[in-house]
Amino acid sequence: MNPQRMRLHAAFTLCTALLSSRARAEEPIEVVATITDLASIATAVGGDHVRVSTIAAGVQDPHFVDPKPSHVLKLRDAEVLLLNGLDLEVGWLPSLVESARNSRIRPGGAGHVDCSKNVPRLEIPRGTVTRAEGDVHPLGNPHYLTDPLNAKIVAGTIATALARARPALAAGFDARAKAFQARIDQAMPRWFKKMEPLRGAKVVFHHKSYSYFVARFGLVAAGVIELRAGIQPGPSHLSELTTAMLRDKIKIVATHPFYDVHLAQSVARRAGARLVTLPLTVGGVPAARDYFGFFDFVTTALAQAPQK
Amino acid sequence: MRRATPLFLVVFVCPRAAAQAPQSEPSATPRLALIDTAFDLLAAGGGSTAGEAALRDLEGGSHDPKQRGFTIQNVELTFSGVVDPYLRGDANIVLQINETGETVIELEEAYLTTLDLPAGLAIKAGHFLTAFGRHNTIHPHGWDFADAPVIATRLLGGDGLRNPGAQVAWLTPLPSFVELTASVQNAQGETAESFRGSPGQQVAGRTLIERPVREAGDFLYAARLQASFDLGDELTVVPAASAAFGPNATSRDTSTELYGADLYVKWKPLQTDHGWPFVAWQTEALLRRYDAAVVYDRGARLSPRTTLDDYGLYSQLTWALLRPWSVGARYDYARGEDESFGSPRIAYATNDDPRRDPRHRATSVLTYYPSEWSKLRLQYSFDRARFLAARDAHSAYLQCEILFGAHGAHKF
Repeated sequence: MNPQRMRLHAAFTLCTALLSSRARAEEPIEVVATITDLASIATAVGGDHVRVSTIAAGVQDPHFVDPKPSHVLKLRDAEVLLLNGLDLEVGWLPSLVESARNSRIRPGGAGHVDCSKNVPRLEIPRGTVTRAEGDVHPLGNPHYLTDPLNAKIVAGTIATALARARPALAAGFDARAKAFQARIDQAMPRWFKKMEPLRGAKVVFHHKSYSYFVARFGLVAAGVIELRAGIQPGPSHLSELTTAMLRDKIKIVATHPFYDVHLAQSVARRAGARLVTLPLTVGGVPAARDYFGFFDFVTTALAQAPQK
Repeated sequence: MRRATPLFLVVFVCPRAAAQAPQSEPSATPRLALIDTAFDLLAAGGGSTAGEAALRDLEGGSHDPKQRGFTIQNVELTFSGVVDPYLRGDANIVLQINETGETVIELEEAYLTTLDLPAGLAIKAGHFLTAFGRHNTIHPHGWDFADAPVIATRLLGGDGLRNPGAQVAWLTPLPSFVELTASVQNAQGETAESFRGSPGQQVAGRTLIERPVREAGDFLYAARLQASFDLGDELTVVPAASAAFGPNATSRDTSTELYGADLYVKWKPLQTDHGWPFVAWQTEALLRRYDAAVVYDRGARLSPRTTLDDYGLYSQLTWALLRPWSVGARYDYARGEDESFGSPRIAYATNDDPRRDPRHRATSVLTYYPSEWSKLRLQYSFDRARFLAARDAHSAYLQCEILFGAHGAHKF
């Protein structure tokens, strides 16, 4: 190639690179979140620069998601994958990621983001656990997003991940993450105020999914319907639970919309308690439209329970 | 003595200030996951009105319960792990105790898969189940019934169609899910009965010969095209078509073609209680065109070169109605055209060949799942088979399964 052609070739390559990187900077980041809580936070942090899709719908139990081919398509096209971690998705996400053949979002890839990073964990089992205790989570309770303060940490993690995908927009992601964190701080006093009458109140939960909420808002988790996670509770456990509820005057049973409502209703009825149906993730009930709506709904539903 | 179940009691007491975090530990406990291993035991007990000799022909699968009494159908040891940034490895070693009480150990699968290829590609190399149809690549403990479909055992073999080779899979960039898989493998042994098979083996009464590999056409070539569509949030439809071509050993220049079409439809609402309820409907139709060589007996030509057609289908429905129960029903139909040969070499009607006679089977199952990792299954089958002296057979089995270890999720 003669020198003049070489210069033209170099100029052409440089222009193409510049144009494509500028075009790329303007393209929204394809973000896939495993659960709706993460999608809600990602939308707040990413603004117009992200296109967010979710695998597990808000009304679904995030432990049990079918690895449908349509989910593979979302992951095929993803630049960033946000996962809850702590083995919440271990039953279905690895096979989906494998089928999607997208190396960006594989474990170790730049777009693979475990949002449990830096989140303080509760209920880490001591010593050895086996399946005799059901489907235990050996890394700790994975439902950390039921504590709004953990969402502040996750917002920072997401901002860092988005900035890796679009370095030119890093300042904007950081600013929006801080705005989200400030909004959480502003909302906490009203949530605490609504939960104040319930401080120390004993609640029986269907599954140990609200441990972080209980810890943050001063409730007492006084029993669980699903004694061993993933295992149907036996009649002797249910009988002992309702006896204890009557003895200790436990007046609230909290369940999720996807659980067997007859089982929860039967426990509540036999113990003379009120049944409250709470979402597990954003969108779990229609009123929980985003992360803030989730806590507005939950605090109202719990606060109203004893009066019903 | 009744054992008291301890009541689980957790108490958290937190001061008002938001600044005080609950008692907890920092995250990020590192763990190096080098290998996942799992052990699965699948066993059944029961029997049939068909005698034991007939039962071995009635149940064509190697892992099917095919004796009166107890059968260790499948003891599966799985190993999987990430090798490096580019490759992962998977292996399945299977043991069973067969109908004569012998322990059989086989390498069911052992292969590498690429992790980092561009353009939606993945390459698999090693020993693996051919991507043909839907049933062939599902391991026995993933079946919805205690035995394999009749047509699958006839055309793909009792152990499934599998051999060493290589496969490339392509997830297309189309807006709908479309995946194309193509493979080349050896065409020999008991796991390629419709192809080169094993010398001395009989297919439709023709005895297979030793057939060495002389050219590229002497391998098993298979392809599968699968699509998937969601109709709303609750219904998924997965249609697919498969084909396989390879040599057969009735002579040194005859070949076999396999064709298959399958459809999987699953209804599952978004709100499920630990996965309940759902309904899954699976149907597969298979056709084998078997180019059989001329049959001679003591110099006399008994049969010209013939294309033997064998075909059939199964259709099964599984309904997980109420946790932890599910019910299922399956219908099998299989038959072969053109004559099989007996021993001595006398042509006999296909009706007398237990591997090709017209067969109807109706099966019903009731399955109980104490947990995700165990099951108890009661199965009843009614068979109508021409080769049976009594024409009909009733069989019933109670199957159990346990799984422990780290086993990956089954494909959708």
